[in-house]
Amino acid sequence: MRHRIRLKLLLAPLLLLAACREGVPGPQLPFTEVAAPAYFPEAQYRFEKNPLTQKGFELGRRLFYDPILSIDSTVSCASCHKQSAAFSDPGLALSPGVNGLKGTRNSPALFNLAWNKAFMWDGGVNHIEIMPLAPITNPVEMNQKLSHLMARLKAHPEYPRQFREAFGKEEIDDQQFFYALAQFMGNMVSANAPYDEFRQGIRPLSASEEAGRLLFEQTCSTCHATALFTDHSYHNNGLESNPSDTGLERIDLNPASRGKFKTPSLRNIALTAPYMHDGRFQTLREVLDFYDSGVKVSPTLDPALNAGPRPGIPLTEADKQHLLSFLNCLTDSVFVSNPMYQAPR
Amino acid sequence: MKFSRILLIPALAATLFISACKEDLPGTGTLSVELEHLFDTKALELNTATPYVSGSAEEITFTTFKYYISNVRLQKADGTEWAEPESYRLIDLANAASTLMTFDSVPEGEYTGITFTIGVDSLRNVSGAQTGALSPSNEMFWSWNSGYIFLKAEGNSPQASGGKFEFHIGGFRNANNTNALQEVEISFGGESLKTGSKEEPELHLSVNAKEFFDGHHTALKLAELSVVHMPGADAIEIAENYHAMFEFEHIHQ
Ligand code: HEC
Ligand code: HEC
Repeated sequence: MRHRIRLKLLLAPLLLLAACREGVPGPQLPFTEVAAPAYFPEAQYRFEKNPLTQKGFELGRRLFYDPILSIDSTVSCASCHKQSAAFSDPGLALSPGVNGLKGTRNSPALFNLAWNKAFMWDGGVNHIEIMPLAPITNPVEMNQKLSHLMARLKAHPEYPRQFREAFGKEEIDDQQFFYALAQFMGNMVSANAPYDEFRQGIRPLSASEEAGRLLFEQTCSTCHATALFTDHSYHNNGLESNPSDTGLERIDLNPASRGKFKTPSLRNIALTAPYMHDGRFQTLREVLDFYDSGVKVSPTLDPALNAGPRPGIPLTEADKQHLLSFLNCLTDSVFVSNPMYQAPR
Repeated sequence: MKFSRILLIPALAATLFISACKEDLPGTGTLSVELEHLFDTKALELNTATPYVSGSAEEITFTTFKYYISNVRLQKADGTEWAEPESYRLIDLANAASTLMTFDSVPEGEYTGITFTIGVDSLRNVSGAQTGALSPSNEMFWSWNSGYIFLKAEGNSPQASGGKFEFHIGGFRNANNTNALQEVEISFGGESLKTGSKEEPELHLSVNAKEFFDGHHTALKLAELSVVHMPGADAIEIAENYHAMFEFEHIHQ
């Protein structure tokens, strides 16, 4: 195998001359990853097989905002993932897809996706590159066959040229399509909240914010861990269960996974109401009341939420105020207005 | 492959440059493997007017029958093996050309058996966007629970509830017993297959879809189970059944 690869490398220029290879090299502008702060953990997706370029990123952005991805050209990724709300769908528990149809889960915010080990509330999707396949083919979201969509892009007046410029191949294929979207999504980095200024020693926290931070670190950060505010793992946090959505169990078929969902990041949380996998809580206040007094005991309830005299995390009124102050420090207003992520003109 | 690489590379480069890229490397040859699809003794076709009959006396017509063959290896009598690089093929009854598999650049020699995987190895299930046979456009990839569908069989049967059956078989994880990958080993029954620049060997294998229903594991009754859309115990039982589909027929040298 290794021997073959080396051979190919040596032969590449000759073969290109002979025009037997599909590739025509396109202009590749240097383009760098948005820098993440040193206190972020190591990213999962490093663009290794899919080198990040300006053209690739811009193509991904155009695709993200283009309703051509849905069967009747009415719904784009951005219909359910809006930049002003950190790419969640503000105010809606369930977002409408084509023909106004609705699924069963809340549109999550999108940022720092390059750090995710898996995607979706139940972690069912294992790679950022193939993530778009789920909304595209889902009958209640975009309801489109991938082969259909590729035919559409090939027949489009502009996409074939834009793909060629980004990837240097004669013909559009779905790998390039996924690569482009992964370049856009993988480079959405949110790390400019007041909390980051605090971490970088630029801005001190107020007394209430600081009290909230300490409380958060004692009680919430077992799951909402690291500067990403997620452990990238799955827990049952004691929500009243819904037998039709068993969470991780649907994916790993393990009864011990019943009711476990991926810990969401809490960055930009003030912008992404409603909350939880089904959008059941309208406000952060309701979420805190739930952790204080609404946690339901079940065989899979996370032990961290069943350690005291009663289930949940006992919080006083003052605790809740402090936690809210702290959670409000996680809003990254630079990210939600960054022209880099806006719809192309 | 034990020949000297250093000398070979310029020579190969020249050859490839002159010829049209499709030629085999020196010291190698082409092998064709023809897959003859059957249901018991009849040819297997889609949308037949007369249904096939399973061992449980259920009547079956197929609208889709496709599966992956990957990581093909050929064995020599001395125990050495040749493994095809990037070895992924989608066999689809709706695409007759896919039932003839061509292998280029098989090292010259005499081979006594073939092994392959039905399905797609675990690594490619977790490696992001793939191309060619592995492209998700082939509709052999689960979007909501990432992983390849190894074999898709769909069709009609009056015995199935709702008159239809849909089997999407896959699953590559070992945890919780969801690994449906099947390794098939076929010996050429004492015959040997010669490859080389002057040889044009053709290997014929039969693929008997009746085994899907009646294979060595359990008799599948559509009246009891007609839909499988995810990895798990049902998928594994069916995979163990269809493992028995492949048989050596003969070699044309
Ligand atoms: C109809 C609304 C809708 C559309 C359109 C939509 N999404 Fe989503 N998106 C959702 C919902 C709902 C989820 C959560 C699904 C689940 O967990 O089952 C989600 C999840 C995701 C996730 C996983 C995030 C995480 O942290 O796990 C990503 C990434 C994503 N969508 C990107 C996209 C892209 C790219 C497109 C366009 C190709 C798109 N979405 C189109 C509603 C939508
Ligand atoms: C045992 C792990 C765990 C602990 C401890 C925990 N959470 Fe959570 N949290 C989760 C999980 C898992 C979810 C998603 C649950 C779901 O939707 O089913 C979640 C959801 C949330 C959400 C909604 C996020 C969204 O995008 O919808 C907020 C807000 C939240 N938690 C805040 C907190 C706060 C504040 C604390 C501490 C008082 C805390 N959590 C403690 C695991 C935990």
